[in-house]
Amino acid sequence: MFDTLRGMAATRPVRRELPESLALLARRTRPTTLAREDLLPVLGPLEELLGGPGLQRGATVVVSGTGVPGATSLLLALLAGPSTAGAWCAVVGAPDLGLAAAGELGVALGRLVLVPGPGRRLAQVAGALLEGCDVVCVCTPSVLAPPEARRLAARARERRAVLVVATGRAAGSAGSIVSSAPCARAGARPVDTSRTGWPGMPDVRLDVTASRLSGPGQGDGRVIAHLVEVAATRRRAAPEELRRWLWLPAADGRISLAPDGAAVPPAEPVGEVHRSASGAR
Amino acid sequence: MSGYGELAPRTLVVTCPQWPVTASAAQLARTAAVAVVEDERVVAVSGHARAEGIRPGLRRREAQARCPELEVIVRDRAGEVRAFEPVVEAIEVFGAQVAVRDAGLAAFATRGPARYFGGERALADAVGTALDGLTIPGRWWRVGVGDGAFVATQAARRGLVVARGAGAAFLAPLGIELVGRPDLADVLSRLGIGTLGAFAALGEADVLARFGTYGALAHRLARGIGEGPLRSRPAREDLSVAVELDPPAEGVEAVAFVVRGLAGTLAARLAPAGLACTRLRVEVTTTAGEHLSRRWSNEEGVDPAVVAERLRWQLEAWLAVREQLVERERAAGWEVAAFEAGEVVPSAGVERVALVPEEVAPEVGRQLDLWSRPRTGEERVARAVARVQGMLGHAAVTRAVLAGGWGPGERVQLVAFGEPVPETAAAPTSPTGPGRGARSRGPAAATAPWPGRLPPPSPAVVAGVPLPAELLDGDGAHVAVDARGAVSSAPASLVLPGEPALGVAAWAGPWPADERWWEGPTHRRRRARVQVVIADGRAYLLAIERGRWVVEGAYD
Repeated sequence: MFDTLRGMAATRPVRRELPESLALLARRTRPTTLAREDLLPVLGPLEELLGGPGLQRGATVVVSGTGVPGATSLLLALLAGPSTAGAWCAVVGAPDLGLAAAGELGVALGRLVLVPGPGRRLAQVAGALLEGCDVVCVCTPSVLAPPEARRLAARARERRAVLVVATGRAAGSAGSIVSSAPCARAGARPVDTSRTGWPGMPDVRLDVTASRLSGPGQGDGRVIAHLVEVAATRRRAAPEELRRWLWLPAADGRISLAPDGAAVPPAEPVGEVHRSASGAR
Repeated sequence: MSGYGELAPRTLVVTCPQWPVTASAAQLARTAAVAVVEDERVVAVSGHARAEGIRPGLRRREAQARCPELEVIVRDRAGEVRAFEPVVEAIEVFGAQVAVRDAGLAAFATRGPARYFGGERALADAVGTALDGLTIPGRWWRVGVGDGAFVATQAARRGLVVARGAGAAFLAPLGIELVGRPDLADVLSRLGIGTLGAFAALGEADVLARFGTYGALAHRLARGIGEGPLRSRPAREDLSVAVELDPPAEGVEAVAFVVRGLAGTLAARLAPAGLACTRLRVEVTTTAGEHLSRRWSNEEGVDPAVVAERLRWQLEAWLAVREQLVERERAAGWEVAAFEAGEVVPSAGVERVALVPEEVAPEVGRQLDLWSRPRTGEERVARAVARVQGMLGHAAVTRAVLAGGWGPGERVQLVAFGEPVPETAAAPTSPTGPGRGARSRGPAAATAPWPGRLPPPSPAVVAGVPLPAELLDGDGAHVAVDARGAVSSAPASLVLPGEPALGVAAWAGPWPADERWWEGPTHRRRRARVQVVIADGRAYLLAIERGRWVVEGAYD
């Protein structure tokens, strides 16, 4: 009998783990969770752009890429963090989303709800999904009337879910590949989606400003990596943008932070595009 | 009459053997082998298919192997209910409380009507005659009378009237599989009990001890005494639930959504009382003042989720009937209110829906937990998805499953949310199933080698319908890929519909793939893929097949 007791004592947790469990206890017994601490985990490389270790529940995030490819990959990378951590994500209105790419970038397809064609009931569908899913991504926000959009943002805040809005060409939102082409139609004025894409100021705005695809040469190589420059604007932070270069994905298939766009030696400097180069400035 | 005291009330059953086939392809079934499948399994077959050795329960692939010219039809449950609705309406003339047990099988008690028509046989004949005038004519239908619905159903398959108390003798030589519980029938037949008579000869207490209430109920059926008035009784207390819709609901989906909630409420009322509803009446009132009602029965209890589903089919059936009426009136020159043909929209809104349990029985099979489980994330999602499916239809919400394939679109398969992931599923590009097990496009095939497939990263945008394109070389000539997988010349510009020619800055490939060669020349596809980077930074995945280029995806 005493042997047994001694055996039990040996398996008890050792003392140095105690402070951590106390900290856990303190966290558990604390009466409230502050909104800024109620976070959904994101991939490490995106933390700095989002201004914290995660995606704040209740927030609205706008992902856009005007004139530059890469916004869809950025959107998928944004979903990958919460998705791998066990959260449910939903994507509404993106019939052309590359799901094989989503899986490769880390989105758990088993917890991804897809509504490819909500039609005119986009607002109702997104609203219903906000009741159950942790992250709801709306990919054709242009069909939303401003009051509907504001109501959706309010619903997300109330249900502690994250509303991600993909404007511009993100997620093939325009329905087909060609119509999501970056170049404005001849003669048409360039449309500023920061005004038209979403009413008001979202909590976080991620904008793809430059993109480099490395791999293909002249009949040799293959697409191996995609380098994207992302500009982040946060509502509750300094007004200036934060710009970071991201591999979406890198040659090893992972998403990582590139040290600096200027310092990165692209394998082949092909397919490079800057918004400034297209004459916007 | 103590011997008869236990017997179920006399019941008349109208049924159609292999109703799913008759409902969806009555004309075709007369001349061709037809099978209706659901979840890749055959659920009903036509006479010609039966002669070819096709049986319900077979896998679709197996059935197609046995009979290559088999017409395979995917089951349409709503369509079955819709086709059955005129039949139920015709029977309602004869008996009160016609209960639909399943699409293709309706029953009512004969006690009163038989006396009016001068005997059960005369009643059965009258019902048969009345069914002759329908679009699915009388000779498809079988009418039978017996003690309780089970005996009557078996009698109907043979067109018989089984006398009072003769049910056991009638059932004795029939096969055990008719008991309707495949798992139980399987066990019994392995125990050497091959007929209902042999099963009935076992002691009631022994069956109860070995197989529980589930087996005891089957035993009662085999003994020909029916589901039994012992269990079910008329609902004494008012358990009905109703909801007033303000504003009135237009459209089936909206009503179906309300009913789903209502069915949940009903289940919540029945559960504390320990009751299961064995016969349920569904009532719908429209703003035009119409009252529609229909009974559904099931001796094992009507599941609320099933109720919601059935009511939805029922509504579609009612609306379809009305649509026919409107068409008829319009043809006769009547002025009809604005009504879009083809669209299932009621002419008047639905303002009230009620679910009235008419017969209840003690809930025996399942006992819910003492403490209901907390709602997990998955249940919350399922609820939210159910709402969206209520708005847009069941198939509008999907989940992606990785599958085997070459192109970026083929590597993912969309499955309607809430449906099981198919073990093997047909490729979107080919109407038939996969040819060989090792190459089947199931989730297991996702990790199998697919020679010619491009390594990751995959394009983040994939065209649902490949977009036609043209790839030209420096001289403006079409770029071709030869049988050895080499390009005829280096691509210099890409032409997409509705856009000026785009200069090609870089390109890679081609990657040739010889696809589905094992399925014969009609399914074989030879494609080659090329990655193209445009001068403005966009990058596309192109594929060429039979000399035509398409855009499969974009690296976005």
